[in-house]
Amino acid sequence: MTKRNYYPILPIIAGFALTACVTINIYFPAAAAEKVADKIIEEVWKTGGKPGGNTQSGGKPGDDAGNKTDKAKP
Amino acid sequence: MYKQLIRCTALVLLGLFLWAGHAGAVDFEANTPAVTRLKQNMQQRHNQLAPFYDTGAVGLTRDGLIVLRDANAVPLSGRQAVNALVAAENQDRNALYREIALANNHPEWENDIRSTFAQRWIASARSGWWYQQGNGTWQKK
Amino acid sequence: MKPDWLWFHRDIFPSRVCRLFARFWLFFLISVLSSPAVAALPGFEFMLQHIRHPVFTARSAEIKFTAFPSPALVVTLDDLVMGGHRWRNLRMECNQIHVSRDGADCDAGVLRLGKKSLSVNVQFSLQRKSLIIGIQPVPVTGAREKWRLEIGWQEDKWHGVLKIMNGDGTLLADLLPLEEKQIQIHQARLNGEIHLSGSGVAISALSAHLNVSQLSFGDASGLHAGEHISLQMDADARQTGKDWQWRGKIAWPEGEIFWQPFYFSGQGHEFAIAGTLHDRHINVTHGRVDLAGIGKAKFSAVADVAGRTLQQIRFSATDLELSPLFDSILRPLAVDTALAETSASGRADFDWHYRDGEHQSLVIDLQDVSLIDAHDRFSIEELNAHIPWNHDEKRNGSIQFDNARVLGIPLGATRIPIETKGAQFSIPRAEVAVLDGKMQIENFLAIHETTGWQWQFNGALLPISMEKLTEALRIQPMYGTLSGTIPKMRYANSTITMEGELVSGIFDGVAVARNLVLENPLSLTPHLIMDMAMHHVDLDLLTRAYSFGSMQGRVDVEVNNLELVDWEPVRFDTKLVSSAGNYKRRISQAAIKNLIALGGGGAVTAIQRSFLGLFGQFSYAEIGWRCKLRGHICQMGGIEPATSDGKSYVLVKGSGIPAITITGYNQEVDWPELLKRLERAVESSNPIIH
Repeated sequence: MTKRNYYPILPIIAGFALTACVTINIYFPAAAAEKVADKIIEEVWKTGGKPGGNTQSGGKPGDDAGNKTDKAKP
Repeated sequence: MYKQLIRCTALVLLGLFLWAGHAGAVDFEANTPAVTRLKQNMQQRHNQLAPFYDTGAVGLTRDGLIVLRDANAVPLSGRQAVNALVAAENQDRNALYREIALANNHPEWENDIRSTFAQRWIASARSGWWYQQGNGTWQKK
Repeated sequence: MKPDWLWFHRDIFPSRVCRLFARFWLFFLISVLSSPAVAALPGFEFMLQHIRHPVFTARSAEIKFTAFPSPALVVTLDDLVMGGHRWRNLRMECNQIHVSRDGADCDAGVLRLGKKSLSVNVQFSLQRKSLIIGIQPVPVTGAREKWRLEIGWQEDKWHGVLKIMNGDGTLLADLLPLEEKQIQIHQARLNGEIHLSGSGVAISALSAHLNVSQLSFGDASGLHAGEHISLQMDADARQTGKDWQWRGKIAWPEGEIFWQPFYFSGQGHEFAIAGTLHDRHINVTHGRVDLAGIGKAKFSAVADVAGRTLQQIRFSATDLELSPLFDSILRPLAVDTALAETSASGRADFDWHYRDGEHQSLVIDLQDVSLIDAHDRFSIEELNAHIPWNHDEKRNGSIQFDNARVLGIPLGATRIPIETKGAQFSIPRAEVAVLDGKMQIENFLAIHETTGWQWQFNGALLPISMEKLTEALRIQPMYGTLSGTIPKMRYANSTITMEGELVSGIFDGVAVARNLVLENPLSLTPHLIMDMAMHHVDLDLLTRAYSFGSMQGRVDVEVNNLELVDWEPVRFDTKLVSSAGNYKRRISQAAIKNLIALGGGGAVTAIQRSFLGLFGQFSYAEIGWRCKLRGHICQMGGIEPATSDGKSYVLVKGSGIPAITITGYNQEVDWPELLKRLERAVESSNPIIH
């Protein structure tokens, strides 16, 4: 009888445990950060010619200064 | 009881994934005056640094910085100048990672940003440049 | 020999030369031992299992002499350890020995040191009491290397001379300090003489004159390296009683050295040193460094040889040229500071005293110095300073300069009295000319902590033109004067914090700045965070100053959470509202047009638009504008929502006749774009403003 009372707690513990370990990994927007990094690297290194391994060029608009979006309405 | 547990866990997981997807779609901001300023500064310096990347005197480290890895590739009289270039570049790179983290209101992301950059600098490096592998050894691209 | 020989051998630079000498000394001993005593015998052979000596240890020495068919001597040594070096299989052969009653000589001996083979000739004379050993490498190289050792003696007194002609200087590696052994000498030529004299087994005098040329050395990383170096070395040492008197001089006319992080090129630098050695204490009585292009310095020192510690140093230099000194010594040490990209000129004096592990005193004098930052963050010209410091006592000095510039703000001629005490640096009171006004500094106190410098001060601002200040800072222009009391400002961990409020008059109102934090002020990306409020500001003065079109009235402005990065705003919460009270509230046609232009048209109704042309001025009841800036996006609002859906807001609420109400529809605006529009609006409407 007493043993049964613990069961409802289990999913909660499981939930906490999962959030605790998973959220840290997924919280950082790695893909978006990578795009931003590529954009910045391309700009910083562009003067020396085209960097060889750089296949990435399209960051999100507004990622950098050269790509300013005007969000002002008319 | 066990079915309930599994269902609950599944729901939690589903919620997490949805949330994760949402988090991934969140804008990643890197457009502040500070980042712009640092980029300009690094861009100007790159012309001076590029020949040293080419000769292997300066290499890309695994922690997103650069280092004078083979001073012998630089004439004696130029080594001090390369030292100064490397120090200035690293100062800017550290500031860049910090500023991007601040721009996103997540100062604690600095290290994630640093390691993202570390990988991307190396991935974008021209062939012939030297970089530090995960285990610390140097590799020519 | 005394065991004391060993420390002598290891710790004193000139005596390391003895090690070279000791190699020949060994053969001398063996020759003396063997040749004369056995001249008459047809042959002999004996072995020594172990020879131990403070200078060397040898194992399995074998000496073999045969008289027939011709006199021949073979000395072999299986193992010789000397000064941290080990040689195996040493062998000296002499096949043609001329032995007479007077002595012996060997014309064509061969000495093998491992893989090296050397031609040796030995002349030994009992009558003249001399031994001459000549050594040449085989085969003879282009450099014609030759080593010649002459030893003469009278009773127990002896004198030795080692003459070196084009000697292979890689042997110099032995002379380097033990911890620098990873450094390889690639090439070097030695020329010169080393004289040694003594009695019995002790050395009583030594002198050396050596020229090193074509020296190049380096370690694997290339962080410590030298090339094409030539050096002239003179040294002598003489024993008087238990003490030694010695002096040495090194001149460096040519070559270059990089010793992380320093780089020097030989342009006639000289280093001279003289002193005594007494009871294991080296006393440098006269030291002189002459760095060509920089200047001269004198020093003296006392060192404890046994404990390997420096007990005392006194160093003084006058009239050093700061520009080369800064380039070659100071800047490489400051690569991570704001001085990394600074150029300096002028002259400097230093006087430094160090004793028993602590700095005792330091005095720095600067004359006509200028420091200029490559990024224009700071500059200072015609700087003259006297900065004394003492470990125990308070000292007074002064700093004065003709003009300076910090973050674009020019400072005029200033004299600042300073006080130093221990790890503290203070300025009781000073006045600095800032733009057209002044800044009074009081109770400035800087302390050097383990985390770096910390400082604090308070003071006052005597009217400084805001127009000039904003222009100097290259931010949006503001008008009025900045004056008031400066609350306590604190600097620690690269951050300046203001504790309290800075109150100043502006546009006939009052401005208050609080919670000011400036992070990394001298970095490339300074962050300024503060809250600001302006009360009862005269709109007439404000709009006139910006040529915006006349508006009359009073407003209160609040700017909270303001953050400037590199002096550009990236965040703020601004609220501008009409002040409470009774005053004239009028708005001109030109101002309305500008406001409409700001809103991007459509901000007034068609009916109101038709009114516009009829009147020059309108009354209003209230003005309100809000902007919440995040990044470059400003979320705008007004006094209140204009419609129930909340998509528009009232910027100007009309009252009386003629009245006008202006409604804004832009909820999100790109801030840089808004500023551009404002500029354009002001420019285009300029002609109609009165």
